[in-house]
Amino acid sequence: MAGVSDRRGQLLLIGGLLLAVAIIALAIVFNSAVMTSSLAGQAQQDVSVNDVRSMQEDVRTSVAGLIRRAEEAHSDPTKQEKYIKENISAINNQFQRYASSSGVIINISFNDTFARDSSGVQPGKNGSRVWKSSGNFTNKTFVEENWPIGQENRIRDFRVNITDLPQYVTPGTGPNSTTFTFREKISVSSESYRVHLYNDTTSTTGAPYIRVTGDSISPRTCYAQDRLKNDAMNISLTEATLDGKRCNALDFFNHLEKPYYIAVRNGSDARGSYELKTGDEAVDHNWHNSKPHLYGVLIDFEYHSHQMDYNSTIAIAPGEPS
Amino acid sequence: MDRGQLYTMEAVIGGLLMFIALLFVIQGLGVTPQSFGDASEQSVNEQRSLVEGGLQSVNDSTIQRALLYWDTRGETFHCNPTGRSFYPGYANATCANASKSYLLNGSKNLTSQVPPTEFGAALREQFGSGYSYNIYVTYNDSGTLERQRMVYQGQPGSGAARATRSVMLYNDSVLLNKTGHPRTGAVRNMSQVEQSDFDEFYAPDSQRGSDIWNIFQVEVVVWQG
Repeated sequence: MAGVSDRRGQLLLIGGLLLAVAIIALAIVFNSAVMTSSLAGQAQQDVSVNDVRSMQEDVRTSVAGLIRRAEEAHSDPTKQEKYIKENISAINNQFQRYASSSGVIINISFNDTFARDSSGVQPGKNGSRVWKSSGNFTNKTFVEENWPIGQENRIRDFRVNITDLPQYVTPGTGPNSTTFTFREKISVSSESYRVHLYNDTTSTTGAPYIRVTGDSISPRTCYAQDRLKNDAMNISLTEATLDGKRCNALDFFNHLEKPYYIAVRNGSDARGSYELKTGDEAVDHNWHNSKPHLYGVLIDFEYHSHQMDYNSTIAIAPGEPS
Repeated sequence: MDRGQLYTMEAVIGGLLMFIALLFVIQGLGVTPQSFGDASEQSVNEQRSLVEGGLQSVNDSTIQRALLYWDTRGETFHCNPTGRSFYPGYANATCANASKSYLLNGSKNLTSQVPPTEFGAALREQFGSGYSYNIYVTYNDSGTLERQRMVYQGQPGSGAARATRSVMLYNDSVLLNKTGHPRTGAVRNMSQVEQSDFDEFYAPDSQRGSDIWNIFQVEVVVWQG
């Protein structure tokens, strides 16, 4: 009797041990599988996607630089386009050399069709340059016929250079400061954002200030550090910079639904100049200087490596809101 | 089954179990890069984000000015300690006596930055004082890629992260003098420097027949310490 029980006990023990072995073996196999897939995923992301993205971004900034240079060299949009076409092959050659050093073949070419880009947006080859070069800023209120900028939904390089600013403690109460306002066109519950420009008379720094107020944001401020009161200040509204430095208060374009109006209030209090480029070819000439201008270009970008092939059409218009 | 065979089988399976258990424990110990003192993946990712974000936030013109801050006679970046063609982590102190213009960003003196330009100030602002960085400039030279150190503070530490940015210079890009002002006179831009027997710029004209002088890849490598 005792012999039978021992034998059964040993069989049970062996069965238990076999089960334990099977469970541990399974755990090891699954663990290895998870580890391998995780490492593979990381490597894939690092090597391929980031490289393409980085290369594409470099091409974008280089072509954007070329567009800016074409704008400096020529005022006529046809000549601007010709200049870019002539130099795009040089950019292509340069990038091909960098890419070939890491086993990648790329090709960058000018897309002459001006078809819609991958996001479905027509980049608008030709637009207008709108500017006011000196004197007081002119007031305009929200009357659609007065300043139909932004109708085409795209503006870029909206730069303001202010030489004289009004003195205020806090804008928005009492007399308003000089203000650029962006208001959505939709009639019901349209949002608006106001960019107030002023010198704070109570500020110890006396620095020129930008204060942005809006319907769905709390007021945000940035000021021109290291500048004295009444010093000129350079603002890029679309690139959100003040004297070349980032001004986060101006990050409001992504809250705005296109199309929108642009208006200036209390413009007579400030002096200076402003300029912007719009995708609209026809701009009201009543109170602006405006001229036809190249708005943007389309570039075909090809990327081929042993890991991936990628083609895209990039719409490039420097100084658009990000 | 005989008792002897059962004992043998029990011993074999017991041994197997111990071996697999040992294997499992070894795997479970988690030998990672940190086991050898390397930075964690999270830390590397943070540094990568820092350097990529830092470099992307700098204006093209700021980087261009740093590339153009070159002494064409001494064949080195301006304000370098003697005998160096790159900044070893500091600039020549005598530059503090230079004209206070472009070397001043507002009221901030940039001579303590590396490089002593707005680019150096922008990187320091982004990274803070807890990080070291090297800056390399790669350019095309007759079909091959050459590299010029701009800043070299030593061998990158563990977990170093890198980011690159492409910037173009043109045939008429004007070099800066020691004070940071654009050069004046007959030899001031790339084409004129190339024609001069006494001046030398590190990167040649890589695209003759076009307005583009060269495309530079500016690489920043950042690590803690």
